[in-house]
Amino acid sequence: MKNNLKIIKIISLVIALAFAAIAGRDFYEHRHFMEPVVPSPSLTEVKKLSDYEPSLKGTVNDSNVYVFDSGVPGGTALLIGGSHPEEPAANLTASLVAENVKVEQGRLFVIIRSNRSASTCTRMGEAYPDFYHVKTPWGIKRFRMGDRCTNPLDSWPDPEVYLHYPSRQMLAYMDIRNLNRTWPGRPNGAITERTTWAMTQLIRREKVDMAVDLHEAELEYPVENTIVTHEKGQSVAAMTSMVLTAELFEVPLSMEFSPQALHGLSHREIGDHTDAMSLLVEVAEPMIDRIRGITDEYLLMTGRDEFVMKAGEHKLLYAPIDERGWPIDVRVGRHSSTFQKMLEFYSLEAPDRAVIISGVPGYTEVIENTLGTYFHDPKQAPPEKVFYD
Amino acid sequence: MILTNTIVMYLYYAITLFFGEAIVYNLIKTEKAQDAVLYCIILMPFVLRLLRLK
Repeated sequence: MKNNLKIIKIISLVIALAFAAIAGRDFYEHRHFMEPVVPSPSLTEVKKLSDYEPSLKGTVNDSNVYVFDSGVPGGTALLIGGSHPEEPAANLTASLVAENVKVEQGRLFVIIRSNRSASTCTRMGEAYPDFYHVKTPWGIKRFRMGDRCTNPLDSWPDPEVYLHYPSRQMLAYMDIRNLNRTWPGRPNGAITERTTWAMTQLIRREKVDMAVDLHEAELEYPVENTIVTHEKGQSVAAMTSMVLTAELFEVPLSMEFSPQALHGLSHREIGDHTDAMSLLVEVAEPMIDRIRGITDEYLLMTGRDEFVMKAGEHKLLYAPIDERGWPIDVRVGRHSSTFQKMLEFYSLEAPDRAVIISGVPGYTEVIENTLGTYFHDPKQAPPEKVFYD
Repeated sequence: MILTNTIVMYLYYAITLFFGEAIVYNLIKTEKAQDAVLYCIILMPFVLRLLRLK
């Protein structure tokens, strides 16, 4: 009997450790996978966030900052992707811009993975896929699916209550790992606070005029298919919203003001703590709806879900959805056109600080030709022109 | 504050190790097969955290 128990213990332990090893290998692969980026020939420099906050050097969040300088005097814009890596249209749009942009006046800074750490794990208990894939003419391009918050391996434990700095507003405990609750950040805080601090320093030192933070939102959430703007950006946001809704988008793009009493968000804090105007853009992502069905790569890329559709039939959503879903091409296309239109209106408003870009496919092009058409093959590019996020 | 955070984090790893060891101790001592299986399952997240995999 005792021998039997001993055998059961050994077998159980071996099986458990085998499961841990199999899962551990997947977690390791996800955490260490590097995404190649082939920036456009307009690239002038690749900086690091640690250039603006040295304590980030060597950490997972020492992200690349792609600098495109036209050499023609003008303004400076910053495009932030990957604040919440479970919202892939954001980092995909930033990649699309970085790989295709031509800057004709002023400077453009692009951060594809602003919270790299959050892209090295997925949300616990949600059964997200580890990776998603975009079909290109030269093969399949792989991307890390991520979480909303920084990986606990990089920021642990969370406090009982997160006290936002400098407002001292009390926020939910996990928001200390939420990049869009830690603006403007601080140099001696947790890694997520130091990451936003690095970007705040970038905005100040590089004299950024306009910062755009890309996101996606569940259809059950009222801040949807919209631009959230700081007071400084109201005319740019209003014009962009009106023109794109009237001329291009099937589903309207609305506009709303950043709440003054809600702290830590990019649209509030960048505008309050730097000279830049700050805007945040949302597009619908059915995969993060609570009511969704199977959470797999199909749902992530097509945005098609019968349960979310059913919720729509019962008028429980803030965005329309039908059997076409919200494909990734539509979501990225909207973000791309929105960003370009914002730059256009900003440049009209401040001609001496204009940022003029071209070469980036917009809504119509991305939907017609598919997103993958615009990504470049890292194997065909010279190694010194390939960067990894 | 970075130093304080780092110290607290290592303390949490120490706590994880302590509980991991306690689970292994209970696994060795238990006389019930069902409990032994349960202890092995519970041990997995502790191992993954200590190895900095999850």
